[in-house]
Amino acid sequence: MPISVLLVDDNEMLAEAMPRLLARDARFEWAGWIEDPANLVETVRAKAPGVVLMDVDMPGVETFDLVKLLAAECPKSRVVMFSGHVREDYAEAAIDAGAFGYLHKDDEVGELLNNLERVSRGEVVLSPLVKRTLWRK
Amino acid sequence: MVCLYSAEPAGPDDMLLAMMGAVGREIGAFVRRTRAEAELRAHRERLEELVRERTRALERSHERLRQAERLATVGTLAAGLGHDLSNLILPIRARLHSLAESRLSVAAAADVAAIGEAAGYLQRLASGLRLLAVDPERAAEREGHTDLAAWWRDVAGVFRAALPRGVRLEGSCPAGLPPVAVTASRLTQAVFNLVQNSAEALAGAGGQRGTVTIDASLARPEDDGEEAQRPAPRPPAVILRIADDGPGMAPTVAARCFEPYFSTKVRSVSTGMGLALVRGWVEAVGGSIHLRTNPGQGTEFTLRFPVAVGVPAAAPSARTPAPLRAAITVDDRRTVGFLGAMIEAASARAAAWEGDGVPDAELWVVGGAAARPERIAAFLAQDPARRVVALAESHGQPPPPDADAGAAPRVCYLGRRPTTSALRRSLMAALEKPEEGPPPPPHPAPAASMA
Repeated sequence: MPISVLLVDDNEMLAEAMPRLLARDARFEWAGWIEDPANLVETVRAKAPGVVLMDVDMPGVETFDLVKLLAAECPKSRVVMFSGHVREDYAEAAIDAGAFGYLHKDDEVGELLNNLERVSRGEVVLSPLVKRTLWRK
Repeated sequence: MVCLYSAEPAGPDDMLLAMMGAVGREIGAFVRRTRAEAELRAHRERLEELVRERTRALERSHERLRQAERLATVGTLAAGLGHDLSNLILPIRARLHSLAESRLSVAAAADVAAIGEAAGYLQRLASGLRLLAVDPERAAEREGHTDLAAWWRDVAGVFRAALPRGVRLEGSCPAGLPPVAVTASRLTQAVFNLVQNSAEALAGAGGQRGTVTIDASLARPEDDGEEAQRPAPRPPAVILRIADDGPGMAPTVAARCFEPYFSTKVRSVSTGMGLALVRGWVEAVGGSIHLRTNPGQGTEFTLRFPVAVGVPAAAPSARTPAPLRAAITVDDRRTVGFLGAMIEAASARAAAWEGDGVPDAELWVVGGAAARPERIAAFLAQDPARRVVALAESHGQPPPPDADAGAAPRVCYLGRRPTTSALRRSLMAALEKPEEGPPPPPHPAPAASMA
């Protein structure tokens, strides 16, 4: 059964490209795009995606509170952060909130897809840059 | 004191003595006044010099602040541009990836590959632009480390794009060098500054063609020059050279080029703070900068950065020590995953296994019943090489004595649900291990278990 992926991001061009990307890979299916996460929990309940790929910086959104809420309300849908900003405090807050990883938007697309599959299996994934940032002393 | 001598013997003459006393007092008053005036003048001159010094110091710090603000503005602008550029390129890369998975004609596949290469270049450009940012929360940060090979992949495009026509950038940073103890953004700013200086020197020399070369290598004793004679060996370091085949500097310019305000450019172009700032940044992380130049023979800056302590090289080298063996026996799968990813980040020095099937593991991350203090104490007593990160309360149990003074504590209790930050920091402390040394001895006891 393919892994359904829900994108939560305010980047419309990415939202248009993602379903085409996932459609070419038999491991995945497109669950949809949410630009405004006001009703995110209801949407995730209804669509029950395997993976929620969520941007960190969305205007007016307390992202990590949302992750915590999703982890509590929809534990079968695993959230993984997807951001162009890599910061130690963001990555730690994401894991503390219940995310299954933190991926950088500069990662190779193939690597991104492999990581989405790993998240669906319950693994924690971190981009190489995130690992380097977290390993900093 | 006034002394009176007479050629002829004479008796006391009260009048003469009184007169001489009066003259003596006048002379004394004059001398005291003259001395006081001289002291006053010296004090005034000293005071004026102090004021001048303080004024110069204030001007310098004001200029540094102004320069730092300007850099921060440029950096923020560059980082914003890089971020937006990344957001545009990601959908392009996603579409190219899906196109590449499609059935395409040979010509179309070649087109897709070519566009992919261009997108990859733009992506590296965007990543490099972000490295020019000064994170306000980390502006004063002196800690951090950078893998030079990975850094070079990110910044080379930005550096090349900023060069004037006719100036080439060559060289590279090889993989396998140990990470250097400087943040990527600070390193980028310093090297970008030097590359720009070289490019301007080349362009200023009649717009001639020229090359700026960058290379990196492990520091050898001969790299220390005269300092190699020092009695104590220097800590391991990496040398980064930025050289050009431009006009070079006159000795008088070379002697002063690190001074604040000194510049050979017109003021509208330069504040003369570039090299002073670069030296400040390099020295702030314990590094050094050396200049070699002569008129007509180009310019070479040698930056020496200390190797980051306790950080593994990105690629294993011939001197890579045996990996530290870690075992994780924690119920929560997400915690196990995070720990595994963190240990993977230290892949040259550590290898992790889930479960307790690694009897000779040196580092154990344990939770549940296995993390009870009395069980941990007994477990540590079996093997002096073991260390434990326990996801449990210590209940006041003191850690077992550690014979190896200065080493990380052998047991660290983090509570049942530690924060990611606490988990990460304790793991890093536990993974501290000397770079050199024999591989861990095989565990002689029967299979150990924390379960």
